[in-house]
Amino acid sequence: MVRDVHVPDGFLDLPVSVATGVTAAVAIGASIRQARRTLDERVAPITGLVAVFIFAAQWFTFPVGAGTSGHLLGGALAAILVGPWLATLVLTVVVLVQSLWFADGGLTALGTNILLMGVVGVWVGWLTFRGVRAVLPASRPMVAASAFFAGLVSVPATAAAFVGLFALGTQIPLDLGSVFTAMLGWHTLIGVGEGVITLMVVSAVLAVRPDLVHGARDLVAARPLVIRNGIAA
Amino acid sequence: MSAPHDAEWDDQPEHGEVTNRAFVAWGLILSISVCILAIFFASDLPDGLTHVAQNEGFATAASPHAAADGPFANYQASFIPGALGVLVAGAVGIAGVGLITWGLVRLLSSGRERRVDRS
Repeated sequence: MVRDVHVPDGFLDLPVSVATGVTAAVAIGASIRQARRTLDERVAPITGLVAVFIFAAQWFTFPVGAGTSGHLLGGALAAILVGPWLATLVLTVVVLVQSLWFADGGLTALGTNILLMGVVGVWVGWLTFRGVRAVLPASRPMVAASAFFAGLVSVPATAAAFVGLFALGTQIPLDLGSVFTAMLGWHTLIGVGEGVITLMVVSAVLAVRPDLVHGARDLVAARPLVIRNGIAA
Repeated sequence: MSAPHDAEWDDQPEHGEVTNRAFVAWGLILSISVCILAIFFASDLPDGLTHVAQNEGFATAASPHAAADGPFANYQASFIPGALGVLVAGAVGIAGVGLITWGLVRLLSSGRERRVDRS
């Protein structure tokens, strides 16, 4: 089984690795500050579960044809379930554990992997989710549909960001246009798988505990708020 | 004293019979099942990044991982051969990722509650 699924050491040069490390650290700091504003210790078990599920799902590589496989990145899913700030922290924990304990993803590429999966994947996924939700009716099936598009878009966006970093920081003589086309093509296919998994998980949580889907809070919060206002009046 | 009331995280959910505890328990069972299934059914093919790296000729630029000799390197417990070793590595990963995230959120939210108390 192929288990080496993240950016390894040696792909990017030192300056770009340092720059992605600093950017990732700033993003983690901002996420901690923002997450604390609304954090409640009762979300701890659920957030831990999201991290566990993403770690487990990243093991499950699925074939996408012609000698290639894909696996869940999880940024869009985490953002929809726990919000984008906590999602960055969740992906950071997953990437750190994978690199330090399981030698998957280079130590010098830690910043790169956190930036790509925990920031680009999370935020592109979240903004796509919000954007698609804004144009669709406010209902649970539409939340699930938005989750599909969030997953779908987040993967090629992450791949494109990788090629961007690659363009800045590799010593390897390459046809970057060809790398870009290949990365975007394969990761669009993988994005379909990401979208399907994101849709299935979000749908499942919506079915049993819609209140635990951060990105659908408006749908469940509306009713109790109306009742409380009624009592207070 | 306590955090502001937030119905969304109550142990008695208003929208169904599934408590937080049951939700987390079933989620853990699902995640562990995914890991076990992955050992037998996951694709052996290189993933998108590895595949492109091989085709475009930059796969060889990858240098060995500094932790490649660790006890759980490449998701295999080095002291247990075969599928059982992978399973043990998976269990360690699940426990690690889950507990670290859980602890981190507890840590961050406890700081927040102290701020709320003072105000």
